[in-house]
Amino acid sequence: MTTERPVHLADYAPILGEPEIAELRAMAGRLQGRTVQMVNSTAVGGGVAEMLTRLVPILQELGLAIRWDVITGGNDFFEITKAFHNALHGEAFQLPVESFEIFLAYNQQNLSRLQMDAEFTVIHDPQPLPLIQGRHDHSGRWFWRCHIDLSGPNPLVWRFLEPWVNRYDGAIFSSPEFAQQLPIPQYLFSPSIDPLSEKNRDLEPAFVRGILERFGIDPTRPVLTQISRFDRLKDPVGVIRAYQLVKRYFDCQLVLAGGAADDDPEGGAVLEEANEAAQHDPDVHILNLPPWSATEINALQQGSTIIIQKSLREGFGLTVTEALWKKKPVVAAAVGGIPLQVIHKHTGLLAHSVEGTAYQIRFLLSNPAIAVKLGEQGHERVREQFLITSNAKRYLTLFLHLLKP
Amino acid sequence: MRLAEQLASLDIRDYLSLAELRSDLRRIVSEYCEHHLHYAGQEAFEPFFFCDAIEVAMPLDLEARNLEEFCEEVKKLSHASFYYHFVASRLRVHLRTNDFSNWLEKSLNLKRLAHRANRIDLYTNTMENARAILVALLSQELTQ
Repeated sequence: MTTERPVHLADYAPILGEPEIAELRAMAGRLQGRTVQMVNSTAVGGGVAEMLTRLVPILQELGLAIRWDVITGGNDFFEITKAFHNALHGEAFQLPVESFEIFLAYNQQNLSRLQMDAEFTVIHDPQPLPLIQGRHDHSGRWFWRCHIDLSGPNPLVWRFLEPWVNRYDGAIFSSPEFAQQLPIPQYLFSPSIDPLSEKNRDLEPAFVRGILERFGIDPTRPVLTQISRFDRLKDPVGVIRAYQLVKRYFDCQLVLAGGAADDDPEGGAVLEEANEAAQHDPDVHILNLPPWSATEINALQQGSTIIIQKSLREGFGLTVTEALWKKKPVVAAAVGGIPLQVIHKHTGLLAHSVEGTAYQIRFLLSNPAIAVKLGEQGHERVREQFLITSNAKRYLTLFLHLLKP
Repeated sequence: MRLAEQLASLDIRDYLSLAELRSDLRRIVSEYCEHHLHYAGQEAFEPFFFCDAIEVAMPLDLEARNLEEFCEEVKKLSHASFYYHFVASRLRVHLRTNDFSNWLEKSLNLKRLAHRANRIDLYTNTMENARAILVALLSQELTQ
């Protein structure tokens, strides 16, 4: 188990340069003591929780009075929200109609528990969406931060959720492609990673080697890795098939590593499907890691030859951002927010199928100098666009804009 | 591809206002459509998503009263601040120049330096490169 060390804004200066830090402080100067509340559905696991873990302390250090609350619910609630999540990505919704009532009842329960009176309230993803009914007399500004791809939602679920969305002062999406036509203003915020977190900081090569060996991975042979939750939309079985095609040409290994978020009840079944597809191949390492495995995940990424992200649908794909930050060559599906990060042949390679993924992996294994160059360019793109400090800056910009007389 | 190249080669230094720039954009696209009717109705692989942008400008705690101070402060600017003064200002000041060159010329009477700074190619340099070139020009002037 790893514990995150407290990090201060000044610690980012060597990465970003002093001027960027000074700019954040200057922007926050006009927001001192302003109250902000972030609400999501899980404190651990998944990109949103990870991002809030770092964003909240940064905004606190900048002088904002920020609070982070997590809604609670039973297994039935999270099964429903998982089905919502899949349906918003376009899948069929097969739960009974009563699910909508259960969803609302849990939100009502949370509302009676939570204090919702901040000047700026940011509700993350659909799970806590109906909390907007707790807003008193149009006080404060409320935003819905949607981290998922809404470009082709299941109409039944979207028709149910949309009226709630329309009650907000604005919706924040990760890309214009994910947005819906809404009567409220929409804002674009790229998600971000923290370069100083346990998951992203530089590790000693000997330590990385040690972690690989601990998981039975041979550091002397190519390692292909996909880090993601065991979720069908991440297509772990497709990754195994791509690896099997590559294996005909290269003596490589595959690592599928991830954990289960508290709000994802499907993980176990998907893990079983992956194990079955691996057919007891000793070079396929399927690692179901607990949520406190940030350092292990970091080491697996740093110890990999190529990082894969073969998602079928994707919000933004923070695991891609992490890989690019570590200067790793990435082969990823051209879905969701991935093409915003992986510019084909500039910061990585995009693919559209199992076969395409296998081909691009083979290309990189055959051309290591190109792989290095892609990794370096990917790192620079993340530094400029997708670090946690840029995310903090976007929130500050939004709040400042709203305070304009 | 030809149309993309034509649009990419529009240089904001040639314009005094957004209206002029928009007018040229429209003219180029219209002319292309007139001459290539089969492309005009072509379905895009992915739609173009138009976006608006919010600009929040605020004074920084930095100021320069001579060239030496100016050179030092330019090094301390964030990317956003450098962009605001050196790129976005070109259409804001309506003078075919940028905030930096404008100040160098008007306040320090350094016309040649102002002109050389304004010639830094924004289209083939990253922000970081453009700043490095500007700092090199300023340093050169200081050592002369």
